[in-house]
Amino acid sequence: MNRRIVVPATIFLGTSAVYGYLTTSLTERTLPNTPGPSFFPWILTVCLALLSSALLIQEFITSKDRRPSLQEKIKPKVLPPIGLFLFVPYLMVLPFAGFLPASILFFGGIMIAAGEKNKTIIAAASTAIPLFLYFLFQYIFQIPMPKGSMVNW
Amino acid sequence: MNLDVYEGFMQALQPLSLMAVAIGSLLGLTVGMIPGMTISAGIIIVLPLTFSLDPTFSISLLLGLYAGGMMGGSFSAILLNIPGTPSASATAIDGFPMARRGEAGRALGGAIIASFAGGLFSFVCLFFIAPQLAEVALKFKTQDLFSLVFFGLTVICSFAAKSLIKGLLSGLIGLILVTIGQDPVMGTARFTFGDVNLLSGIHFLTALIGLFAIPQIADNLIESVSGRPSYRADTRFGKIFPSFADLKVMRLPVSIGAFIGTFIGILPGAGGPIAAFISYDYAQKTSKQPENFGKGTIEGVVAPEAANNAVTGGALIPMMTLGIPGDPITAILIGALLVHGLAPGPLLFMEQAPFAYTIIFSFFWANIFNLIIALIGLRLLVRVLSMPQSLLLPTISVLCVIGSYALRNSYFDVYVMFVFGLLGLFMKWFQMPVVPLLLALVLGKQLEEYLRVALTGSKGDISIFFTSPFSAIFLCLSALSIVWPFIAEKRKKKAAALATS
Repeated sequence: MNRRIVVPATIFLGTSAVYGYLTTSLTERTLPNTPGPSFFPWILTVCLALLSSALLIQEFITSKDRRPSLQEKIKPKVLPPIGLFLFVPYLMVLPFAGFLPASILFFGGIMIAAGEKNKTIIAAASTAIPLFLYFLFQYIFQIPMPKGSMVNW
Repeated sequence: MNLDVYEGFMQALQPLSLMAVAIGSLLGLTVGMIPGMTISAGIIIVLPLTFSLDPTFSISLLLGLYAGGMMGGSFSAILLNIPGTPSASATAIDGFPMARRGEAGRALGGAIIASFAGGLFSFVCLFFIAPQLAEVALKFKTQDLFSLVFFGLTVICSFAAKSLIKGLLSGLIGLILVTIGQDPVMGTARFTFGDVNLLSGIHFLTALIGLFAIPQIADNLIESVSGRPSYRADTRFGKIFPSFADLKVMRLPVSIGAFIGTFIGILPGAGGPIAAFISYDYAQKTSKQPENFGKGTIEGVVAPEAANNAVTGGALIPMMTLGIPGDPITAILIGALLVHGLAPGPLLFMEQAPFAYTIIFSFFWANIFNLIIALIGLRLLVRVLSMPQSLLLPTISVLCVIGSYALRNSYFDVYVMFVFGLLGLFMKWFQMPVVPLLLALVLGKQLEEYLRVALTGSKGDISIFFTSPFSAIFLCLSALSIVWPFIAEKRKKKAAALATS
């Protein structure tokens, strides 16, 4: 059985159940012969349930006959990129610290995660590029940048 | 000359518009060339800028980037055998062997000229077809519009995925996400959980930034950690401009590529890679020396290049006249227009005709600038290939945050962007296409609105979708687009069985 089919199909089946349940609680403001706000979500619920079931059934039927290909057997392990986790603290700190302090730290972190080892380059680029972007957007293009509640940058 | 055409032409000729197109082309050529950077990622970089610019300049910039990106993809395909964009994959088949033989300049020159010719042909088609199609589209009733949008979605779902069910599921998830917020007919709040941020729904540009940029950053980070090779192209590739003999050989494959590319561009969801491979195949079949294909022939370079650049103009036709995006980039263009209060569709040619023609002429200038910049600055441009990922990745990451925040000055959008990024990663891992989801986010509200308004008008009678000729045609095409992958699969199996027997 292919996990890449069974897992999403099960998740989508669950989603259709939750979505259907939420649809039942929608307020009805139906005029005679007029489809109400829950009309379209009901169609989507049914379609989602049908398609995810179809995906599951298809996998159950075909997996018996199918032999895993060589590619499937030697599937490379996909490492979760550590750098991506840096987004979580960055997005948490951003509303308090503001764009510049948070971005300088984040920028440096991603540079290290991307394999940069030279400390001078990391320090220079992580300061200069966020600063450049800040002035470019805030002052030249007049686009308001995220301001922090603690530091007004 | 029509006054609207003249006004559009003059507007596109403004120095600032031309500058925006030129900057867009330069950025597009650069971004398209860097392996691992897609045109969508390039557009995400400039997206925040477009919020503050005049709509004409925003669209000019984005069009330049779109056309430039398509051309730029071929440079790394020829020089490094690594296509900068998926559309340039077919170019590498003959382009790289030519470069290895010491004919890189000839291959690059051919690719540049072919891209220009393909783009120019699609501009001509756009100029003549779009206004006519818009006039036809004005005759559509609500039920026709529903069926048209439905057709657009089904065709994207069936083209974008290897598995039709996965494509349809991706589209359905997009439609479910669209139902968050006020419903388009009565304004009732749905699935908002009492959060005011969700009342206006999820902005699809925020979703787009997350869906495209975060998985790409993740991919590039993995590559960086696992020791990505450094790209360094040899810049001594001799004369670029093709000889007269080459131009003569190029005529037929370029014409084939331009025609196929424009036609496939009009079909929603098909896109550059399909057009490039089909035209490569046709060019081989019509060539006097088909045995040279794959060994490094100029015909094998120019046919796919003309096709993938012709796709750009073709894709603008349904986007401008029907409001249906054919790919993520035209979806972004729709988003950029909507941000400025302009809705693409048949009314664009009626209510904002000079602006519609400005878009068309900006596309023309984008092709001209691509040619000039590529021919003059190619040697400088290819140096970008050695730009370190350690600078590129954090810059894109920070720009993702700026882009999503600047849309409505809200941190909520930044969080939504990240959640969509995780969704993009999840979908990638489960081998589900993200394009149907994105296009469902663009078209979902219209789909629901047209369906409900049509049913209200007919007092709940669904036969109106089959009695209206336009609607019936679109529904038949939708059915065909769903059935077609099964027929194609069966034919493939039959051919394989015949070959083995």
